[in-house]
Amino acid sequence: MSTMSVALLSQPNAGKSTLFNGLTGSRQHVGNWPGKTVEKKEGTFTYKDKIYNVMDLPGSYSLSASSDEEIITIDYITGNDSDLVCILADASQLERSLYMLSDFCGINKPALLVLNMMDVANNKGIQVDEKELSQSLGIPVVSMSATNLKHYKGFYEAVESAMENPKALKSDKLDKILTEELGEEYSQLVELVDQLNISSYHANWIATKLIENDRVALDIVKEKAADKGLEIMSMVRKLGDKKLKVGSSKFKWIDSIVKSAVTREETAGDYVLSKLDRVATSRIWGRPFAILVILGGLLLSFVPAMPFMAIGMGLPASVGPVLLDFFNNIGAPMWLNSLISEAVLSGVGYTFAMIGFVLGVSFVFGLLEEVGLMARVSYVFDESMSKLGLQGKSVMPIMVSFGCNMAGTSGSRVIDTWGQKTLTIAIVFAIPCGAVWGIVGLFTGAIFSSSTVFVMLALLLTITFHIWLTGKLFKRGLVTDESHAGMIMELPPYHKPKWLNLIKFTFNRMKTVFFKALKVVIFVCVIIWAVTYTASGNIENTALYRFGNFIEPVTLFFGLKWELFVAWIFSGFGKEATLGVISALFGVTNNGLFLTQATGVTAGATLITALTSTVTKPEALAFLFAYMFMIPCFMTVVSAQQEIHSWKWTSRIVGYYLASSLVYAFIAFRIGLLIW
Amino acid sequence: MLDILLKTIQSGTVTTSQHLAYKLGVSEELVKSQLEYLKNMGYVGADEESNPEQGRMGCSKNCHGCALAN
Repeated sequence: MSTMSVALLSQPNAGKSTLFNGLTGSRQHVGNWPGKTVEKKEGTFTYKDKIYNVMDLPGSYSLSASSDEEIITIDYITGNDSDLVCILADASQLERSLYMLSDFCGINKPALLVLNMMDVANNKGIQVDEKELSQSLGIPVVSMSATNLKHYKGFYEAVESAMENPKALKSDKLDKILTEELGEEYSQLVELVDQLNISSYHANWIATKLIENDRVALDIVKEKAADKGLEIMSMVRKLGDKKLKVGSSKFKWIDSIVKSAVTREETAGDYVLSKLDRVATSRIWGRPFAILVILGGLLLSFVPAMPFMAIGMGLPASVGPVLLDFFNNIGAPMWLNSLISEAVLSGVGYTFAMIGFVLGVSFVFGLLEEVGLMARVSYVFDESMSKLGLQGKSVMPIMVSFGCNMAGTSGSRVIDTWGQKTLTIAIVFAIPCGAVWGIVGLFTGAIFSSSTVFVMLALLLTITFHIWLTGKLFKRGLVTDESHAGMIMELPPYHKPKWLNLIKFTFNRMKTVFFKALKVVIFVCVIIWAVTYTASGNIENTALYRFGNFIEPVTLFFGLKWELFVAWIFSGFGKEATLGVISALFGVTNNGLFLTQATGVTAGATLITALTSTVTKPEALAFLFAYMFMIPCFMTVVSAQQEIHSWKWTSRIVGYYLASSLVYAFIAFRIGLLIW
Repeated sequence: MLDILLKTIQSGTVTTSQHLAYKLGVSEELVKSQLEYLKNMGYVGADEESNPEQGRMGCSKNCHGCALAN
């Protein structure tokens, strides 16, 4: 039986090992290349009474001699050990795989191109014209899937035919492109190298490798060039650093090969999606489109949230009286009755209402991420967000926070890195949610009348400044400077969401947040109840009232009467609660402080009269600024901790906002005193 | 082609492989292949922190040996 030698050559992940194992089975031997730590795998297969020795060459990106693997490969294929080189390419990623072929071009060795993973290519709608490809390259081409044993017969026949009629890869097209790219000096270099008459390589191959400062090419010149060596190296130096041009030439060659032999089927769906992407990533339409997506997502997230909110908010009114009656009937003390039917029940209701948002935001924005839309949003806002040290995706939680900060914080889950997520959350706290404007509108309208516009403008400018300042201060500890520079983003293709995974994730998350938040919220509700409870219902008998009067000398430093200071503290529990607290503290309602803030009861014109007669303009300005820059609400804090998984950083953010809101109040009060 | 890709990265522009493919008149796969070449040659780095499915490639430093280094 005659024996022939076949070398398998490819980049990593082209299926070379699968083919090798498929060919040789148990007839393989693994060792090391002499003097190297690189694995050497060889085996045999038999076809039509011929034995073929197969060498599984080390997988490498190219044939540049920058590693032991590549040097071993070049030595082997240019030596006398192989009769045929089978170059494997992943048919589903030809543009990538053919780079190895471009580097092989110019080596005088019979070759066969094996287009592997044809099943994957066909699934992607890729069709390869083998005949056209073979004509362009000058070598035989065979398609197969190395995992499919039925395809091996075609491979054996191709190898047999290639052995009988050996052909080397045509290099004329690539040579022409190289000459066009590199110019006259390159042609002169090729001429000089050609005079060395090296049989294993074309002159172009050696010339391009010299430009790439390749070790093998340099050794060849040293060994074979004798007196011409200096002239050759002088020409190489004259050309200068043209590595990129050599690379570009190879890619141009690959492009021309693929365009002539490969077609990609585009379905109607693909066509629509590619048009959608043009809009979604357009410099002009991309941002408006992204904003629409986010706002649409926010509106959609209200749909599952509403039932929870309705149940949660209605709990004190519906279940409260029932519990009240029950405890009265069993003769429970009044304070216990109040604790359970007011504090605990309100806490449960509040948590239940908020958890609807977690469900809505997690599901809707998780869906947007699954289908690939969030990647587009991230891309179009990447440049703007980078000014704050953030990635493009951070725009989503920031925008959502204009509706609800808790939803925005919860939505930060789409951000990949912990540092960026934490920074985003720190900035989200500065975004005024929808509930804020109720109080702001009341105060500015009631107290400032004609100066309302200026006060609003001052608030908006301060919000903008505060976002910038927060970004600057928190960025230092969270985001490295190198994390943002010129970027080429690879957008994932649009794809169908994995519904089951998404639903599972959303409900697990909701469950986790609910039980964690419930403990904390009930605890806080009980504390607030404790300091506000009075059997008589008279606010002056509460611990809070006594405390407030006691600390007023300190609170006045910030321009805040004790009632407004307490209202500021309560606003950290929930912005909606503030109006009710102010009503109770200014004696406008008789419902008791806890229930008033829990239900957000207001008293309209009576409250306005109470405010205008009690609160000066500078004090109102101080309160507005303190209120605006206070932490959004307690659920936002809990949600932040859920996302950041760090009480240290959550506390830092909370502490920062507590401090900065009082600082702004102080400044606003002093400015107010100057003006009014 | 490679110099256009490198200049895009160095300019600080944020773009996508799809856009570049459209601009250069080549397939997106070819752009990705060229980015892989630039990464293997040490001209650019891949952002390892990012979600691999949204892989980004960029470089904020003028590395030694970079053809476009200042």
